[in-house]
Amino acid sequence: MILQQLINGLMLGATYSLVAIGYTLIFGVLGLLHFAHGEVLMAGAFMGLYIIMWSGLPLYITLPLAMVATGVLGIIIDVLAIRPLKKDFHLAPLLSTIGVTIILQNLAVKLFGGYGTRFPEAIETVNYKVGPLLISSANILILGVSLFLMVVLYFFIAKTKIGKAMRTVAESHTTAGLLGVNVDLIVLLTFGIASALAGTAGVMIGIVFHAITPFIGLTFALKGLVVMLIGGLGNVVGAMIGGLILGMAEVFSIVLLPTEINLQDIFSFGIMIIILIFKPTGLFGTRVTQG
Amino acid sequence: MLSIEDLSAGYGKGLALHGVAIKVEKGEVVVLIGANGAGKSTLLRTISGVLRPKKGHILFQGQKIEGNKPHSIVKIGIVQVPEGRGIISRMTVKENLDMGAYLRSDKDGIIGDLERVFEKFPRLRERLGQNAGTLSGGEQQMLAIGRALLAKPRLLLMDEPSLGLSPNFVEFVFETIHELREKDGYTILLVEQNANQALGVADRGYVLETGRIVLEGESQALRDNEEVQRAYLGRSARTVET
Ligand SMILES: Nc1ncnc2c1ncn2[C@@H]1O[C@H](COP(=O)(O)OP(=O)(O)OP(=O)(O)O)[C@@H](O)[C@H]1O
Ligand SMILES: [Mg+2]
Repeated sequence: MILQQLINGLMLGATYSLVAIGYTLIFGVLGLLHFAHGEVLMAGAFMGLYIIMWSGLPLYITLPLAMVATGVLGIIIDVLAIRPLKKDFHLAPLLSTIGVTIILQNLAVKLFGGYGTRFPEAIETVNYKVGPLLISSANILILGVSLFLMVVLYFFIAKTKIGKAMRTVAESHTTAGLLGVNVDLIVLLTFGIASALAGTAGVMIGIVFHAITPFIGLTFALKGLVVMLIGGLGNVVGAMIGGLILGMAEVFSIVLLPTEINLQDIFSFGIMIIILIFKPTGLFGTRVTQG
Repeated sequence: MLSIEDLSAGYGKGLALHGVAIKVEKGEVVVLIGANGAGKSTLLRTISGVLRPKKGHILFQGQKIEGNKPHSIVKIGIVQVPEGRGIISRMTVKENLDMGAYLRSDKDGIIGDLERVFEKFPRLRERLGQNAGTLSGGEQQMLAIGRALLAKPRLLLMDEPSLGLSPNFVEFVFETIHELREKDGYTILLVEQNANQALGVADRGYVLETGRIVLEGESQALRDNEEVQRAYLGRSARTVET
């Protein structure tokens, strides 16, 4: 029973991690709270939905396609809504991304309606019995893909030239430029990666919940935010671990507390406020991955 | 090699440089001295493309480069050791040095240059795996200079490399600059408030006052100049170890 919940929690947490990594990467390189990140996830889920439906191809092709599509959306947001802003007005980028949130959400309502849209069967649902545990193929997929992406991203940031350039930009745009780094390009790439991860999370949410709406962004954006704070602003590894912690904590709060009251959200935002009070730099400190 | 004409630049609407003109020839060490807020860093930032000039031209090897982005300025060979050193504190010493060679892909060349940096600054080799933020001020300055050398500069810009260092390290920094010129043949534009020592290693110098060049000449001539003696050579250097 406990083990079963652990698996459910890990699965939920893995999607939180993917969202939070995106937040924290963008916060790292731009010092910007990307308010529209949740809506990017939502858009990714819808793009994934149509890619899966229209192409009829297997998920190992459609998921990367959805990632690329969402990545491109993120890049477009950077180019149109963030880069043109004057740097000397601090609130401008935040306000601009709030604008993007509203635009994306309204567009989605116009295109797909405000109700749930059925998500296609992207993978065959098989339930494996392992002793007393019931593990679905969706669980395995989500955990496997998320962990794989996180490991790849970790090594990318820690070891590759571009990863080092990202960390340099996160430390100082001026220093990065003086070392020959094309800062705009790195910011663009960061938006692409962060958004592709959000798109992945969006598709996974569609697979697990079998339906998506134009409003799924907010919940996951807020959870992603909580996780970013738990993990420490700009701390990629913190976001990875923080997501898993929050996912498990939530699932256990459902198990341990009476079901009539949905305490899950109160619980997560409670955690956030407590952390903000006692450890504002997050449990793992403020930093981008070390090599 | 570098020729700046009638350059005006600043922050927001205000100007911090008014019609500045300077020249640096290949193989020279040229020093720019001036008080706090005179605009020395602004000039270097404008050369490096961090700031866009409002007016005037910057020519490097005959090509106009004003308004280019910082990374393309590095690409053509102008490399800056910025004020405050610009160390990436959350990276190791090795990773900082790697970033110096960011635009290079000649692996063997980089390894050779890395060895030369270690010969100059043996301490860096001992500290390779250490977080750069934990280095002392003097070690960080070595790292900043070593990192800039790994970019293969044709023109090295240095913004107050002796600032905030202990007297021993100040001495070492000026010896290093002397050696860079004499032994390795680098061309250097040096910004300093330590006018006495800076004029000691430089061929020529300019004096910047509130954004204008008010005096220029051979190092010896500037040292003998009464104005310079009164304004810049009279007081002791700032020597605080950070
Ligand atoms: N980021 C900035 N924004 C606005 N004004 C600035 C900025 N940086 C410098 N200034 C102003 O521009 C002028 C020149 O500053 P600059 O930093 O170039 O001086 P400096 O000669 O390098 O001085 P120091 O010896 O203290 O480094 C000063 O009046 C300063 O207040
Ligand atoms: Mg300065």
